[in-house]
Amino acid sequence: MIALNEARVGQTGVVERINLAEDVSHHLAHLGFLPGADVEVLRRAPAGDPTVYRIDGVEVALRNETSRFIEIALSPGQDGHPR
Amino acid sequence: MSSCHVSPVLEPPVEQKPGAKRALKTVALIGPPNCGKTTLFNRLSGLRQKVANYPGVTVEHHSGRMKGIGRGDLTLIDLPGIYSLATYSEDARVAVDVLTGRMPGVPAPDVVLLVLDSMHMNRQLMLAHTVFTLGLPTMVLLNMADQLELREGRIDPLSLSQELGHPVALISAKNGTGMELISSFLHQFGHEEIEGAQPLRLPVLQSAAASRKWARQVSARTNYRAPEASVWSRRLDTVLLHRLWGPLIFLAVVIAVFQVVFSIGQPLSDGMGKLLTDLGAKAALLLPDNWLRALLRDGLWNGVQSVLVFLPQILLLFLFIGVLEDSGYLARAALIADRAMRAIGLNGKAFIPLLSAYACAVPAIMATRTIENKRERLATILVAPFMTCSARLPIYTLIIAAFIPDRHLVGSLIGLRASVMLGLYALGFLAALVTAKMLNSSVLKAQPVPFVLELPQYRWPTVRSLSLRLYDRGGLFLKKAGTIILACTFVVWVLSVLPVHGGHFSELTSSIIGHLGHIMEPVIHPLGFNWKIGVGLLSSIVAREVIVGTLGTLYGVDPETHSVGLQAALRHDMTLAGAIALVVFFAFAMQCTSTLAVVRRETNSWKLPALQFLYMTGVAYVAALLTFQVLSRML
Repeated sequence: MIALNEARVGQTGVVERINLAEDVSHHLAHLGFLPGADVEVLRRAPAGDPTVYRIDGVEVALRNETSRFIEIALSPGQDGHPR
Repeated sequence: MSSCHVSPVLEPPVEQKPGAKRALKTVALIGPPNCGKTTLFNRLSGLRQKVANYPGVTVEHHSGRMKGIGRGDLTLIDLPGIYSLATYSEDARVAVDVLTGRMPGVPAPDVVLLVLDSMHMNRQLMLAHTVFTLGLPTMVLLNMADQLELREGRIDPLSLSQELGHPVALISAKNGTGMELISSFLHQFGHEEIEGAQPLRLPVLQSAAASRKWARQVSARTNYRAPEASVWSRRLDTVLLHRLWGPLIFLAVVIAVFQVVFSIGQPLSDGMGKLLTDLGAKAALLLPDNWLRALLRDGLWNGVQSVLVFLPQILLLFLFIGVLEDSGYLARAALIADRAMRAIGLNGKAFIPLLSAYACAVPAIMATRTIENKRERLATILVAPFMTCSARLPIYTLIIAAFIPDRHLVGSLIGLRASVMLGLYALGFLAALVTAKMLNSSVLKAQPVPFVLELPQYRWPTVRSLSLRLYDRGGLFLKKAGTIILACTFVVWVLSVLPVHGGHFSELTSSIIGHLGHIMEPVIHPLGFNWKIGVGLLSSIVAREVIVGTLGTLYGVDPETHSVGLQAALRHDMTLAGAIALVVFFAFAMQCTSTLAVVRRETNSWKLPALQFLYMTGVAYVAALLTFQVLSRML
């Protein structure tokens, strides 16, 4: 399990846990950030942060300061090796 | 019932006696953000819609007759776009209050139209889960069916309808397909009246995880297939969000907007000015040569006309903002800007309100609702009026056209006039930046707020939605010119010809306004302003663009400048340094009662707008003073 912000562009995984305040995680949940959801790292903003994720068919951008509280399990065969 | 929040065309809400039958009257439109609800609302209601605020809150209330589908007897209420009825936002509270008939002045809806984006049905169904628990007759509208088909997604409306227990229709608000299904759904209530007996129920809230699970199961059972991700949308992002090209394109877009607004807008404005002047002169000949002609031509027509000529440029600006927003680029711009915004202690979300503040601070301040953190929201409200709103354009373009030669810079890439304008925009932006920084490091030290930004697919903006936007904004501007500005120019004219001596009007300098202007001259003289500009400044406390109307009237009644245009009159009366000081003053000053009123309402305090007024005007005075003192020595 790694923090979402540690995943590299192109990697995919499954959301395991969200360690954020109630109202924040509630808001994220309605954008699809829920345990069990598939997530893909799409691209970083030109300045390197925020990062755009594809979750549930939708593209959502989060800053590192938020995504580091979201834990994901990388899809098999991706541990440390970018596709 | 507080009637002021209901538009006069709407009927008063029906008293709901338990057990009584009532006819279908009110339809509520609800859906998550980005589901195309506004497009559908416009399609169903046609052009006639009413915008007001719900009592006590800052959420906008759109309603209209359903004329678009030939049901002018029905009232359509557009609810704010929300993800869930359980969010902690004001938007969700308003939606629940309206749906349960507890919003004063708003009739309780008889049926609900639930709009969902068919491309993201999995997620959007989560809202349906709670909306159904309200117990109101509900039709589910799966919008963007055209896109879904194009990108090889699949939905079976029939089995979905069985699964949900509510009618389902595939529609495209953009193309207008499926509207007949909405008609026939509503039609069935025309004959058999709805049971009014059912008490309005409160929604039963589920956890996000439970709603998500339910939505996933429904999608699976009805063989929903999500569409392929738009390839070209993603490809476009590799360029528009590119490390190097992204920011460069961002800058190019901003510069191009200003360049076009001036290179195309200026000749249009000039042409319109000429037309209006000729029209006024011809009409004046028909009137007897007495005080009435003087009042109508010199007083009212000159004043209102000098503001009306800016309509083309203001419409062009709103057109560009509309294209950027509707195409989906604005969200990318927020993404590119987030890092920079963070440096001054605001987040990327403040970027969108601040960008719309370039059009007008009033909707911008209302848009700060999306910023969850109170302190960051307050900071955004306080800096938004520094952004160069369209009400500053009239005085900017007037001064630039009068004082700045039409020359090219850097070859023929950008004009001198456009770059002066850009400079003024930059000045406002810098003021906002410094103010935000000050606020954040002192009074409003805020904890970081999560930045969550949804990136919609790129879409072609439709002519329909763009023209609706322009119609809306243009109408507001004309209404302002026809009311506030007309009233102000009238007052200015009256004060400029009174008191009457022996049956003759006063000379301008001996009139009431002349005295007023002379009284304040010592204060503004160091800024390079004469007393006429002083009167203009006084009158523009109502709204910035009023100064142009006031100057039009003042120079119009002055026999010395009566025959020349306003630009020539200003050149005759002001130095270049004074003119620059004037636009610098306008870049900073808080001269807008509407903004002050909206700040008062949003913050629920008198202290804040008062402080804002004093701070901005203070900065404006000092900046204009420095500008004039430095420039008049240099030039």
